[in-house]
Amino acid sequence: MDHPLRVLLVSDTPGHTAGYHVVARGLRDAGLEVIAGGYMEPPAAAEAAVQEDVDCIGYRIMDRDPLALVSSLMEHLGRLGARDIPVVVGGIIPRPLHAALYRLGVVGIFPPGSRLADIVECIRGHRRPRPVGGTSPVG
Amino acid sequence: MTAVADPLGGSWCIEHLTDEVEKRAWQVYEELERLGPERAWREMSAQGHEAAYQRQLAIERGERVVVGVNRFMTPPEEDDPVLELLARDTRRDPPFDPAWREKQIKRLMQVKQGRDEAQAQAARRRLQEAYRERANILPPTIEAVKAYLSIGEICGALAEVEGWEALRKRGGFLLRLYG
Repeated sequence: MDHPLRVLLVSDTPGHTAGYHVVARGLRDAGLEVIAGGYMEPPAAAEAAVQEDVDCIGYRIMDRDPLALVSSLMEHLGRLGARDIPVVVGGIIPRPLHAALYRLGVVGIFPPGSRLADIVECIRGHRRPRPVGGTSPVG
Repeated sequence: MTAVADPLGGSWCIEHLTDEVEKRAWQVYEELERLGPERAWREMSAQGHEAAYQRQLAIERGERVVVGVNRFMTPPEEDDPVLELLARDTRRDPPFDPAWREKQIKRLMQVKQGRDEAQAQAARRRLQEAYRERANILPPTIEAVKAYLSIGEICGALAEVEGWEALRKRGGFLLRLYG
């Protein structure tokens, strides 16, 4: 059987966690495994993602520059040879930054008002490719 | 209307509902008191998260209407000049004048030179004292601001008491900036 998709949820600053917890709960209720990293800097988030062998990183960004944070996260994932872990961002992401974030390799952007079902679908659709002989492909 | 202290005073409906809110609030308060601070905090955040989750589910089912979120949506504005500014590559094309950094530092230095240093240091000591004794640090913080201590100095004064590392762990982002 497939292992449940494992998602690392991190945020750019501590506090204001209502949305973070709503998303964590929504993913869990949809059958995903959530690792609640809480407030983490990009290098620590990349390292945790690798150590926990996650299928996806969910990055809640609210107070800081999304482009700087995401490019730093991507850079550190690359350094750890884990650039294939998909990154989904949520939070206060100004509309004109979306294109630049997709260019950085983000697979989904979920501003306030997003539906939980859409977040789950995005994560399922972009799950990290597993090496042959590892986890069985999506059925 | 605004000249009357309590225009709805005596209204059975309003008075009854007010009493009811008060009664239930006290019940919650007493329950939290009984639990003690540690468990009360956990209980409150658990209830808050649960309420937020149920609210989100109700919005997604369309049972709860939020104007602009699931009803009467406005299409996003494409050419907002402020947002366009944000979309620039800020490393190559900063949306602010880099010389501002130097200007701001100069202004800070001027403030420090112009203030009554003895008063500033006294305010700093009182703040540290209150923090050490775990007393209310708000009045000495206000005093420190009035004596023209900078935010960095105020955070630094607190950090000195228990060490930067401990404070950063609890204090988070703002203190990281000043650390």
